[in-house]
Amino acid sequence: MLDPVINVLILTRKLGESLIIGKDIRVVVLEVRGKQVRIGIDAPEDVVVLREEVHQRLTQENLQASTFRYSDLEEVSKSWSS
Amino acid sequence: MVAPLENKTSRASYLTISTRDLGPRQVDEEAVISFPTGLPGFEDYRRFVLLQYPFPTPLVCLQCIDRPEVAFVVTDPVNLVADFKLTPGNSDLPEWRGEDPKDIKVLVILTIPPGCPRDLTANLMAPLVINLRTRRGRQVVVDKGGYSSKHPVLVK
Repeated sequence: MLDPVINVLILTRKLGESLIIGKDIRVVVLEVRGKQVRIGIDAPEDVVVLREEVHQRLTQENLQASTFRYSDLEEVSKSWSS
Repeated sequence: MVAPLENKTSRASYLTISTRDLGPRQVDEEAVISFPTGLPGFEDYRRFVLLQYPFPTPLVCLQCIDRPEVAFVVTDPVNLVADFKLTPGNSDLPEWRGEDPKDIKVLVILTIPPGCPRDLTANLMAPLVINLRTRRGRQVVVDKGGYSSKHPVLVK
């Protein structure tokens, strides 16, 4: 998770109300149940929307994956088939 | 006699690319796969190509064209989980919409710890979905199915 952010825009919305971000992203509050909020996001296909913790995990995993050693690949391939 | 022009000019055009591990390579321009949103952690690199390794292996190289030092080792998930399923119809899969399933290629990225290759894992949680017709790809998140981002590959 990111550190708590202090200087952010804070807006209050009711159930069913929306926010517009830029010219083509719409965020709507669909349901409020106790501490959980269901949010609907309407964004163009080239905008990636992920839960923050998922985005962080994917980023870390991809960075790690890119550090492989070419010299390890033959061993992996042999172990794989045996 | 002058040979017909068609015989002289090849219709395919080739790119010469530098690769991380496989030296310079010539690739067909049509083999280029674009990832319009990049991959998380590598958002600025959009153009990749799949290359074979020069030894028998289920591994395939996903080489970035824009930056030669960026490459991933990928494989078909059926090599890991026989019944691996990615459910189409999810709204975050525009690559899939209205496409013939045979035009969709699914690959998973492997993480191979340097020096401990037998500890390799596969990211089944976030496979790459590639539309072979439009040559566009995206790394998607499989919410359901309980797939791990660190699925162990070799049984110890």
